[in-house]
Formats: sequence, C-alpha cells, structure tokens
Amino acid sequence: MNQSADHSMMLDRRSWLDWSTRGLGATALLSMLSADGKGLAATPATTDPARITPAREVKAKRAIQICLVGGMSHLDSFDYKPELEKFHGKTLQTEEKPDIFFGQMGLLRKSDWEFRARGQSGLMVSELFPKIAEQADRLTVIRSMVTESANHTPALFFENSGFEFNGFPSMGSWLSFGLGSIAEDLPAYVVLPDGRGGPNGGASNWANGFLPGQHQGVLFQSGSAPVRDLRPAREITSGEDRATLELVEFMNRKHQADRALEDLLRARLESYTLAAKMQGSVPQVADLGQETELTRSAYGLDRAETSDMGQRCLLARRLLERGVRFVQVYSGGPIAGSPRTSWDAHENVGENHAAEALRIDQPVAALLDDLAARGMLEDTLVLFTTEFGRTPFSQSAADVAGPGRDHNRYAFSCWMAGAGLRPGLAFGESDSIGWKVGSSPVSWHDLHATVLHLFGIEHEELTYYHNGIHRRLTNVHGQVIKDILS
Amino acid sequence: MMPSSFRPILGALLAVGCLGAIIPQGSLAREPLAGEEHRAISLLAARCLECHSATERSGGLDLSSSESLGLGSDSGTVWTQEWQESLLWKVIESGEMPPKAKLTVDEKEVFKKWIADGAKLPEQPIDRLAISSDYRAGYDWWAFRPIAQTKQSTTIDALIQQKLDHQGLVPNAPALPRELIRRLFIDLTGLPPTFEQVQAFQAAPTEEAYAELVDRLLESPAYGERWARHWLDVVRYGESDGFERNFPRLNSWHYRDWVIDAINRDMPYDRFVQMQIAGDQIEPGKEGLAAASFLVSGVHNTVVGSSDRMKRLALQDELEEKVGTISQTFLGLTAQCARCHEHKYDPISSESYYRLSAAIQGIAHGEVEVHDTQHERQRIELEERRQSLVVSLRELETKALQNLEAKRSVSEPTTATEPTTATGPTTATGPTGEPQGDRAGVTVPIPAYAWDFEKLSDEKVEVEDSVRGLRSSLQGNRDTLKGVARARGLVLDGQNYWQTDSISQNVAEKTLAAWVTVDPLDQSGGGVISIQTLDGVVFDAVVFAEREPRQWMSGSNGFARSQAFGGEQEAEGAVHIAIRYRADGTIEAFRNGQRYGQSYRTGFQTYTAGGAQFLFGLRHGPPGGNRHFRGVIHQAVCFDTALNDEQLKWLAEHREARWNLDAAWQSLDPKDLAQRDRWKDELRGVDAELEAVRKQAKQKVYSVVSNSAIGPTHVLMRGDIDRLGAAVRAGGISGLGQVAADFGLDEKASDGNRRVALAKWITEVNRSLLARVIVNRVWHYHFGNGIVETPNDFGFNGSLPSHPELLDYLSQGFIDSGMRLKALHRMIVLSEVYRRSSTPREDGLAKDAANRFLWRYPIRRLDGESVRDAMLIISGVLRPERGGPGYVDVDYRDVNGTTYYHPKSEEPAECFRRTIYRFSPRCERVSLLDALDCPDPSSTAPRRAMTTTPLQALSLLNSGFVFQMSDALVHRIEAMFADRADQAPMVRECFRAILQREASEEELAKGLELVRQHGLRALARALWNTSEFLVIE
Repeated sequence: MNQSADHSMMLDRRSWLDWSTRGLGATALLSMLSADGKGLAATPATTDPARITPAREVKAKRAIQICLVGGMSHLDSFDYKPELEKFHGKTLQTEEKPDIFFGQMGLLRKSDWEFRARGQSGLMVSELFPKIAEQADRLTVIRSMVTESANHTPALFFENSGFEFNGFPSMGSWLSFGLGSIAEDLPAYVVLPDGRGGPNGGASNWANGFLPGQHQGVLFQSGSAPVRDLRPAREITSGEDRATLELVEFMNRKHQADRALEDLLRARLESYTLAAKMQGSVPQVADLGQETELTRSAYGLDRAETSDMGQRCLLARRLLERGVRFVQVYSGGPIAGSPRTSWDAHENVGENHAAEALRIDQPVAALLDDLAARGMLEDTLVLFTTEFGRTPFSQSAADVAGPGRDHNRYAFSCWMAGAGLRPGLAFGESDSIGWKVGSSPVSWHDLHATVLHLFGIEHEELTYYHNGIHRRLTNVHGQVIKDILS
Repeated sequence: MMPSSFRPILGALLAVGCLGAIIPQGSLAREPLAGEEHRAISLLAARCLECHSATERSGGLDLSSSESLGLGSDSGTVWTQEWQESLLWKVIESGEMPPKAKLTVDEKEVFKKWIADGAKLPEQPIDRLAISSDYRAGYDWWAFRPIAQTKQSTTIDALIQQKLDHQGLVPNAPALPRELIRRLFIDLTGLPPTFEQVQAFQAAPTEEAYAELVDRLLESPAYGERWARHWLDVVRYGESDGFERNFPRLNSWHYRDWVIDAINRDMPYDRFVQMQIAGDQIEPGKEGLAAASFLVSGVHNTVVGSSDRMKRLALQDELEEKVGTISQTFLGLTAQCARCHEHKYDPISSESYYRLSAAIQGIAHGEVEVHDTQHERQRIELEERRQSLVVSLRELETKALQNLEAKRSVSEPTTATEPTTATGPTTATGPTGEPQGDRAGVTVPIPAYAWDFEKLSDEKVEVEDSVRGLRSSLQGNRDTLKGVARARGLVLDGQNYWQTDSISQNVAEKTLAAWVTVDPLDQSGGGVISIQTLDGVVFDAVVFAEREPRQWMSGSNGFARSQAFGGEQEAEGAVHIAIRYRADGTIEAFRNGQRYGQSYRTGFQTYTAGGAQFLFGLRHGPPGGNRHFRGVIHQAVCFDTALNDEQLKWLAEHREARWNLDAAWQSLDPKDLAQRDRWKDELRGVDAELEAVRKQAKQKVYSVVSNSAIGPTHVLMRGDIDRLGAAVRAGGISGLGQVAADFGLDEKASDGNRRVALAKWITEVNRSLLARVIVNRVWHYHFGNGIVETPNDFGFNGSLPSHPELLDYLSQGFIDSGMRLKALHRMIVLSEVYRRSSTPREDGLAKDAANRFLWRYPIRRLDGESVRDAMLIISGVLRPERGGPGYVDVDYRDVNGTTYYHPKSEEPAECFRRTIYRFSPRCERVSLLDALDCPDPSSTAPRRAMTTTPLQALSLLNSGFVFQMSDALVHRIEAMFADRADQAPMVRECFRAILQREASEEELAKGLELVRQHGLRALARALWNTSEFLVIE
C-alpha cells in the first residue's frame, strides 16, 4: 500500500509539541520554514520534509529489533558450513594475524548443532533455534554481514547508530525523527532491555545523540509505572493530583493568554494534557494481563526460562499495535562476567548458546506467529541482529579444538522478516568455513539504508545538521539491499 | 596552442597573505570576486580541480595553471582555438563532466564564455582551497577576514536598528522591571532573584540601579558557575570514559573548578585558550594540569582489543575527536572532516588535518599527582604541631590514668564506684594489666579506648571515646543517624562507616571487642571494629563472614594474619565478639565470653601513635566493595593488652561496664584540666586545617600525560590506517592567516613543544576569527541564538551572520578590552535590545517569526540546571559549598571491569549543590535533567535543543526531586509563621518565593482552596510547574 498520504497528514496535523506525531513534520519543518537556502537560515538545513514526502512506496509502518548482545555464532545457527565438519580439528592455514579479540587461534570446530533444511524454502537453520526454524519460510537471512570492530561496545554502537562512538543517534531515534509515532500518547521509540541488565554502553545505545531529546529511546520497565516519573514519587491521593493539575492549568492558561502567539507556551499547555493521557495509556499498554492465557503461554510467560523474553516480546507487540514506531528488545545483558549473561561464548558455545537460545527461541517464534495472525507482519519489520559473529576456529591453544569461539567481524548472520521482504531467502555468503565474507558483503550502513527504504525514506535524504556536517544514519555509505526486497 | 595566461587579480589569490588586499572588507564571500574570469576560476576550483590538479591528475589532466593546461590530458590536447571542438568544452557541454553533481545552465554559460575567451589560467597553479565559491569556502571566506572597522560612534542598538528598519520591523517596548531583573539574574548567574530583590528594583528601576546590579552579578561567584556550564557543554566535559568500561573519572573535577575560577577572575580569553591546550607546559603545577584536562575531557576507549590494527584505529579515532573539538571550540572550524579527504566545504586540506593531529599526537589520558610546595610546607608544619599536641595530651592522659590506678590500688573496691556504676574498674584492685582477685576473682584493666554508642541519643556526627576522648566521625549517609537512639548504637547501612582520628599511643598486643547486632545474617566481609594504618594498607579487624558464611574471623591485609577459626555459624545476630592478639602471633576469638573455634599462630602487627586509626563498620579503607558491615554496633573497646580468658568472660557478662572515666580526669588539678581542653581544641583546629591542606598538598588530577616517544605522522589516504601518504610535522591549518601553518618543529619534537606551539598558533593565526567565535557564543547564550547560528561552525556549512557588522563591532571591542568576557557581557546586557520586552506581536511574527532581527527578546525555557538550581535556592536548601569533587546522584558499581550507573530515586541532602557540581558520568541520564534537554557529554554541544514533551511534564510533576523541593519549601515557609492557622500568608509567601511576585486575588483564592484541601506542598508542586517559573521572559 502506498502510505505517502500518511506523511503529509502528519505535516498538516500541526502540534506545537516536540513530540511523536511531529517527527520530521515538525522539528525539521519549523527550522526549515525560515530557512531559504543559505540566507538568514535558522539552523542550517536539516532534512527537508518536502523532499521526503514524494510518493514512494512505504512497506513498513513499524519495526521491532531483537538485538542479540555479545555476538551470536552464525556457524551454529543460520549459516550452514559442511566444510567445517570436514575440517573439524584441523588447523586453519593462514599467514594472517586475524583481527579477533583475544588473539588465540585454536583448531577449526564444527557446529555444535545439527542443521536441517526447513519449510518450503529449504532454508538451513540449526537445532539451536528449533522454534524459529519452523518460521523459516518467513525469514530473510543475510549471511554476509560484515562490521568494522571486533570489540563489543564499538560494534554494538555501530549496529545501533552507524558509528562506533558514543554520541550518535540510534536507528530508532532516526526513525522517530523521520516519522514520529503513530499514537500521540506513546513515545515513538521504546527500549526493552534484558531482565538481567542493560548492555554495556547503557543509554548510549538508544541515545538521541545530537537529535532533539524527544527522539531518544524510552525505557519501559515491568510494573505499574513502566515509564519513569509516570506516577508521583510520593503517595498522594488522586484528588490531590487532580487539584494540583487544575491549578497548574489555571496558572498556565492565564499566563499564556497575554502571550497567545507564543509557541513555547502553547506547547507547554499541550504537554500536560498529553502527559495525563500517557498516565492512562502507558499502564494499559503494559498490562499483559489483558492477553489471553493462550497468548501468554504461546510467548512462554508460564516458563521460567522464557518468561523474561516472552513478556518483552508480547509487550513489544502491544506497543507496536498501539502506534509505537520502533521497539528494541535486547537479548543479553552486560558483556563480562561468569556465568555469562550474553551471547559472548568465549568459553563454551554449546553451553552458552543453548542457554541463551532457550530464553528467546519460543518468544521470538511466537511473536512472528502472533504478528502474522493479526495481519501485522505485512507492514511490520522484524529484525534479528547481533553485533558480530564468531570464529570458525576455537578460542584455545593452537593444537586444540576447544569449545569456545572468539569474535568474528569478517562474516556473520542476521535475519529480517515481514514488511516488504522476500521471505524464505538466504542472501549473501560467507566463505566455505564461515570465516570471511564470500559474496555480497552487507554492512550495517547497507542494512540501515534498507530499513529506512522500507519505511519509505531514502537514507541520503534523512539528514540532520550537526557541527558542520549534515549527519546521516549511514554516514557517507550505505546501499539498499535490493535483492532481498519483494 | 597554449592558452594565454593572465595575471591580473588572480595572481593575488596565489599568495595567501595578500587576500585582504583584493577583497573589499566587510563584504560577504560568495559575492563574485570581480569580473567574469573570477567567476570561472572559482567555479573551476570548486567543480574541476578536486580531480584535475597537480596532485590528482585524473585522466592525466591538471587544470590548475596555464602551463599544465597546455600539457593536455591522456587523450591529448584539451583546448584549441576552435574551442567548440575542444575536448574541454565537449565534455562540459555533453554533461560528461563533472561526473557527479551536474553543472547548472548558468554555470555552463560561465564555462562556455571562459573557454571561448581562451581558457585563461594563471601561471602559478591555483590553490583551489583559496577561493570561495557557491560550493565551498576559501581563504577569503568572511569569517577569516580581518575585522571590518565600524564607525567609532556606533552602538549595538544602532546596528540592530539598522537591520530592523531595513526589514520594516518595529521593536518591542522595554521589558517590565520584574521581567528584566529576573532575566538578568538567570542569564548572568543561573539563579533567580529573590522576591525582595525584585521589589527593590521595581521600586527604583533606574539606569544606575540596573548598571550597579550588572556589576554586582558579574562579580558574584555564581556568575562563573553559570558561564562555566556553557563552556563545559562546548568542550563535552564528562566524568567517565564512555565506551564499554565507562570507568568513572573521580579526579577530573579540577578542570571544572579551573574553568569556573578562570571565568570569575575574567582571565583574558587568549590566555584561557592557551592554558587549555598547553597549561601543563605553560604553568606546570596543579592549575596548568587542570586547564589542560580540556584535551582529555572527552570519551576514551580503554578496551581496544589485542590486535595492532585495532589499537592504531582507536588512536586515530581519538585524535579525530580531539582535533574536531579543538578546532570547533576555538576556531569554529570542523577540521575533523578532513581526516579522510580534504574538507568538502572549507579550506582545510588533509595535510592541515594531520598537522593538527601531529600536534596533539603525544598526549595520553591519565592521572597526575600534584604536589603543591606551599601547601606541602604547611602540611609538614601542621603535622609537627599535631605531633607535639598529641604527645602533650598523652602525658596528661598517662598522669590521669595513673592517678586512677593509684586510687584503685589503695582504696576499697566500693570507693571506686563513683566513676561508673558497679562496673569493671570498680572491682579492680591491681595495676593495669595485672588482674587481681575481686569478689568475682577477676580484675580487668582500663582499656586503651572504649566507645559506648548505646548512650547516643541525638544526631551527632562525632563521638569521643570515653577513655581518652579520641574522636570518631561518621562517613557517608547521614540518614543513618536518625536510627541511632532506637537501635542503641551506630547504625551501619552497608555504605556508611565511622572512623577515628589517629591514635595517641602505640598499640601492640591487643584485644578488640564489641557488642554488636548483625543484620542481616547473610552478608559478607564487613568489618565491625578495625585498627588500620591511616592509608588502609595494614589492618587487623573483627570481620563477619568474609570467607566462611556467617562465621567470625580476624581480617587482615591480604589475609596475612587471617585463618579460619572454624567457629559456629552466627545464628542470633546480637552477640559480644572479641579477638585477642598476642605478641607471639597467637590470635583467638571469643563469642559471648566463650572460646570461638580454634586459635592459630601467625604474624604480629604493631600500630604506632599518629599512624593508625580505628574504623567501625568498614573492614579497611578505602570504602567500597564488600568491606562494609550492616547492622548495629552498640559498644566497642580496645585493650592494649591481651586479656585472659576470665577477663574476656567477665567482659561479655558486663555489658554495663561503660568505662566512663570522668573521675580519672577529675583527679587532675584544674590547671591541667584547662590545659587539656585548650590542647584538645587546638588539636581539633589543627586536624581540620590539616585535612584541607592535605587535600591541597597532594592531589590527583585527571589530565594529559605526555608520551615520551611519538612516532612520525603521515597523511592517511582516505583515512585508512594502512595507507600512508606524505609525512607531516606538527602544525596548523594553512591559509587561515599570516602565521605559518608549520610550527618549525622536527618530527622528534616533544609533546610539550608541540602543544605550546599549537596554543600559540591558535591564539595568533587569526585573532579576528578567534574573537568572533567566542563573542558569538556569548551572544548566543544571552539571546538563545547566535549572530552566527552555528557556534561551532563558521565555515561554509554554518550559517552566515545575521548582523556581520555587529559581530565585528563586538569582536573589536572584545579585542580592545584585552579579551575580557565581563566587559563584553556588560556591553550586551546594558544594550536596549537586551532589555526589550519579549511579548510576541502579530506584525513582528509575520515578518520575522524566528526573531533573527531581535525585534523582541526571545522567550526561553530555563535549561535543566537552572530549573534545578532555582528550586534549590528557592526552597532554601541550596548548599553553599563551591568546588571540589562533585555530588553523586547515581549509585555506581563495578561489574567485571565495567562501571554501571543508576540514578538514585531521590537525592540525599548532600547533593543539594548547584548542578554544575554534579558528578557527570556518560551513558546514564537522570530523569529531570534529561527531560529538560541537558546533553549527554559525549560530543560537543554548542547549542542545546529546547524541547517540550509530555515526558518533561511528567518529570516536573512527579519526580522525587520535585517532591523533595516542595517539602523543603513548605518547611521553610512554615518556619516563618508562628501562627499556622491562617493559611493565607503562607500561600502568599509561596507565590512570592517561586514567582517572585504577589499573588493576585484570584490566585490567592485558588491557592488557598488547594492548600486547605491538600496542604501547602500541593501548591508548591503546582507552582514549580507554571510556565511563569520555568520560562525567561
């Protein structure tokens, strides 16, 4: 369906608030209206919404990203390498000093899981994810991902923002900036961290960077106040709260009356009205009790291993359903530590990945089913990503095929599903042992460009001026991966 | 044939220094330089020379000089008399060249005419970076030109009015006095005026009163706190590393303090700049190091992996961040854009970028310990004085205790009951350490130190021991004092602890004992009573469950004297626990008077007078980790002997033995007693001074550390660390001014020499630019918008000045004043344009909605810091402490090498300082400041966004801080009124406090209604949320 009408509607629905529905429609627009080329411009040209509105096919209206922290092994999940079985226990003949993290190169090691052709498509998926494997015909796997850093935090920043540093806006922030939220009483970009803790780099991973503050990811927690400051920090009666708000409203209206033309004051009035709405809508959307037992159990809420991820996948669906643009769900908490609480399987892929996959396999599969059943998968993009892959050789002494694998930035796998994609497809290749990319390398910039494209935005056009540069999510790179589009 | 060359005018462009001569001063750059040829040449520079120059020669073609053009390309001659047939015209006509962004019709015409006229080029190669065009800025860009002289008689207001007239705009009338004084206060100091100050000014809002106010505010220390905050935004000052580990920087606050101080002292701006680039070299010592900390106040990646490539890449990334910050901060130039190729818009070559990079390549991040000689001398003197006081006091102590012992040995047991009530000492009949039979057959010596915490009733942060008066004080959470009386002892919450001053006598053999309640039983590693050297390196301590769950042990440094007693697991919580340390190294424990597990023999440690102290609730210093104890300590005691088993049993059975030795002191003659008091007072004073001086004398400063070996610097082709281009030496950007870009240093030059040269170059190469950039920043903060709207970017991509003459006029004035910021502030805030009303008018908005021409003063929301600071000062709880380590409103902990920060739900009272003193780690945001657009200090923030969102409304309504401030204000107001039955005066006062005005009748009525129903706090909470409080008009 063609959604360009949606964009222009947003521009017309003029709100004074720097909030969701404004998206590009307002923040950028306001500074643009006075900006005639280089003359007495307000802030130098950021994205010109006029350039973004032309009719263009909009496939995705919303997205959810399952973000696997620590580096999921492509060799044990979505990238089948029979050669690795053959060469198991052999030395990788190379002169190269590979750019891995710990620098130990053990013997080559085959997958710890059996691979099988799945569904109609025959996509090879291992037994690591038995339930996701059943969804194979819905997946578009990219087996030729590459990244720049073999170091977790820069690699995770890169995955999120296209840069390896603190301080750049994440993809969700760019989408919020570009499109805003569909619902005015919910933020455009919501983040649901792993119950075991946030990833390293914390809020920098969902930061708005130099974009205005309303575009940062909003953390949702479980409980009656899912968003910070949603309820008064002290126990007060609802009568007191209401009476207080009435006085605020009275004072602000009176003050505004003499300065009726002032946008800032109008926006302030509006912000309190919306805040009150959010106090109702946020707890409601977060109330998983409204779901049927069947749904809850499909997501694994009734099992200890799956309940954390299950709750968050279910909450994500509810948020998307009510108009949130982008939800990021983390699988994996802090990087270091023992036992590991992420996918960073230096010591033992078999043990670590089995435990991590158990937590998410059922919930993620249930999410796909649920989205499809509700007809949402057509215009919802699902991303299943990790910051890098793992090495085909074990992380151990040179003559040992140990159980762990080091970081691999040269080749790894991610998958997408839903809106505007060709399902049941594997795109790109790693080399015969999954060590380096074989054909059609895909960078994060390419993946980001593709996501924006599916949202009807060309990545070169979504820009924001910051300290001398018209910044983009894709820096100066990025090519839409045409071959995976339907 | 050769195209004919021509020299006039263009020749001048070749030599950088001559630019001023050919460009009319004061005009903007993208006007055509002069004549058609110039248009063509500038177009050629912008559109062709990137690929067709001496260095690139794409297709073998170099279009930069007449001679090179004559050489043609790989395809042969490019220009001939039959110009329509020449290759040069053909590729342009067909649109083949330039290959990417196509020429406009107009541009094609320009080239056509130029080619038809003979494609004239100068003899000397064109420096294509020199020429401004529609595509890029050259050396002749407006920002690099000398300041244009303005009429002597002109003023800010005349220059503003000129533009207003031109636009047909009518300015607003002056602001009301109340609006103006509030604007001025917040603008200059970040704090609102009081109701009384507003009243006073309203009563007589004269020119003199205003000018006097300006002077007073500029002299107040709050001015530096306010304007330093702006500077910290620009220099991306943060107090943790960022990236994966995000390690806290606990000693980087020196930089923040230095900035505040420099601004308050009105340090000349060029000096201010130089100090930040090379302070450690220019002025070795604490001040210089603190200033140079600018260079390392950004993010720092401490996890770069094992490979050489990753290390080199991380270094280059860090250099880019630093070069970018330096060039943007001081020169308004985005030099970091030239890392991979020459700057796309500004005249900054890759060579220039790598010269800058070489200039700072020798710096590393680190902590430097600074010894301040003057304070060090003071410290030594104080230490000596302290020592002599301690010795004198000890002599008196000995005398008093001997008196008491003497009394005990000669008198009947009952006569000694006075000092205490039926306690240990009363039954003693023998000299210290030699127990003799009493009724129970046990004599216990007088302890060296004894603490009776059970008698504490009020919230004292200091307690003295009852034998010698050794002072101990609370460290950490003061809230725990509230529970002292109820818990009958020191309440330890796992974060706080108590520590004594240093001991006044040696302790060798010893017995440490305490009455204690362990709560909860499942805790690990906390110390109940510990004796340690002052640095915490050596210690012996009564420790709970450090290695064996719920078991007592004797803790020691590195377990040097620790072994498991193997005693029973603690199940009760409330116990008497004692550990005996014999000179032969035997250590034994007693629980409730009974032997606890097995004794063992190990090493032995003596603690010397003046060099050791006791801790309660902490295993050893420094605080942190699992060293903290949770529970209550009721009594504690240290004997400087090893008590025997009977004595230990007696001790456990006589909790009432409180060792109150007042009687001993009474045995001294009054003269001695008075002397003792004087000495103790003096000792207290010396200690306080010593504490301050110690901090000053030896401090760690997070700052630059020079690398001794600096490798050669190469241009990296396309920024690729594996593709080395030409070698470059430390230097600046070519073409900015008269000063050479090369520093004249060889490749072995030290880090210090490089940075001193850089500091000099930045402040000398183009003083017009240096002044314009900072003057524009100051204007930006006064008006919410700069004359140039992109304070960090004066290049092609930035905005052009709305009032170029005004910018130059102010810059000249700034230079003439010796680059003093206070003079500049004075000029600005005394102007009419600053004092205008902010009321929006339809006709003004229709013509100039963005208010670029300043027909009104802009209405702005207070920034987050000002909101918080205003709430603190209005509530009467703002703490006066300035400088020093920041207040910490986050809980942070280290998990396997990574530091995590979690905002506290409410701020403890010690956080109630101005927000600039906040410990500001990266990657974590606290709700109120975050919602009010305080930037994450990960990159330079020359302009803050000002958003209005529902999340902001929620924070202002519901955050714990807002409730805390409401409570505090209620407390303050209630204290003002003896009669609280009549609530109207309190309601009035609340309006006065928050809005600095009287409530109207209607407001009073509504306010009263709210207060009657829900109390004064509801009114305070409502008024914090009014636009009137949150907005500067």
